[in-house]
Amino acid sequence: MTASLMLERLERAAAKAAEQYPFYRRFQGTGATFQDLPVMDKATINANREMLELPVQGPLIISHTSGSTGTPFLCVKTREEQRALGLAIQRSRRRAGVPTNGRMLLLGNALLADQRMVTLYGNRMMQEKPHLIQGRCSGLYELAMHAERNGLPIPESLVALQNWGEYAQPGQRREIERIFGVPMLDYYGMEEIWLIAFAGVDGSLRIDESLVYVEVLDPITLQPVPDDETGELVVTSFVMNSLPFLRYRTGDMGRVARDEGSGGPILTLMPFRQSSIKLPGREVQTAVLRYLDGFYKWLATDLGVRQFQLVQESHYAFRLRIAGSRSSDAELREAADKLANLLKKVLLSEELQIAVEHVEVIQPDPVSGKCHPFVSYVS
Amino acid sequence: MITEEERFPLQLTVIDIMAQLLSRRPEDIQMEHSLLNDLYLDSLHVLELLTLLEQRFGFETEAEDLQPHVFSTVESVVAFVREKAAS
Repeated sequence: MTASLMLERLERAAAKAAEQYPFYRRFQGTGATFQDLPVMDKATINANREMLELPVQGPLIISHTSGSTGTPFLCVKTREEQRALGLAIQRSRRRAGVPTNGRMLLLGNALLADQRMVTLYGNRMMQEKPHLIQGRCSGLYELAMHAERNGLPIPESLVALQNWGEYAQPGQRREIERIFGVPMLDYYGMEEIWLIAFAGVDGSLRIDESLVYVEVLDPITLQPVPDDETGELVVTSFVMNSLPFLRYRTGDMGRVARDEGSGGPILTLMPFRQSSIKLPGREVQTAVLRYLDGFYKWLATDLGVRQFQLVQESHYAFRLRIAGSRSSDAELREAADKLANLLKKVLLSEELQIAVEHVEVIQPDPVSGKCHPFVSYVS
Repeated sequence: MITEEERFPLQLTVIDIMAQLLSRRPEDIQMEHSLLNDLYLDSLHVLELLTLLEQRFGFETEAEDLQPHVFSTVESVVAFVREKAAS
């Protein structure tokens, strides 16, 4: 979609919102543009729910999310909204070669909690012969490892894997795709509005402009960042009417660039959610950890690390948890020194201590079920 | 005299397939019926319907065919099948 067409669409959405929702009525007739609409989040919608929910005829589909923020949120969709969003996901899968009514195997979050679940899903994979296996990257990885360890045949029917919104670390992705022999396609979305972006067969995350518009804003000032810069992803849904999501904060960091061929928007997600590194008297957004990209690539390629997690244990004490590396103590020490030097530059502090710990597996967050690349225990 | 079936074979076949899928009588399905609100065809049923139509009429669904307006009414589905079957 051209920029001017998108702009028109956004202005129409803003005008319609001012007409339909009591919350936005103050903008009616004022000449306010889309950019004048407030940036919203779960807490703001929760606090103004009565002024945002449209009365609808017919049943609503209800679900809940707290995402990774811990703020409980009631999601509602009409059947029409659910149909439109569901078809969008099907379109993305169809583009990847999954048949129209293809067989799907969905890996539940419980897979990581109990080894017996991995065995169960392995058996189901062999019996059901799915065209698509979907789940979190960490779950797909566990299934891949189980299949390889036990010599399970990968069904010939399998066309693709779908990663439900978990950061796929390079080592994991390589192993998953090697073992299953098909591409792992990233899905990025939210329970509130479902699909935001779906990976093409070239691996790039393509924003579905028929469904959403994505802005990239500075998480502090909420102003747009320069083109191709990293910021917080703020989304506007063109499908959701029963409860609008206009300029809605995702809490995720990323950048948007235009694909050279199609001109469509491509999304690059940063592995770190919009949480912060807490230092005395200040907080540093974890977006700065994007400068460690080179370090993490080195971990994956040179040390064979398949998964990592950086933990802030106290203001100046960090622990780098590494899973899946057969590195020597000397190599791990080198990793700790590299990381310490980088963090000192990024955080402008000389006081940091880094420990590196080798673990068998990095446990997912008990609330979100996701394995977060950064966790802070500092309140 | 041309019968209804001779004039509208494709339409009646589509309705027949829908009727079987939904365990309804074909005569209870009207062209103006909404798939969602009158026939209660959910997302899974839509994909199942599409697969049955593909098999019966020998076409393949492209990604861009999977649009909400195609599955709006019985009439829109018939129009879609007519277009795909002709190409």
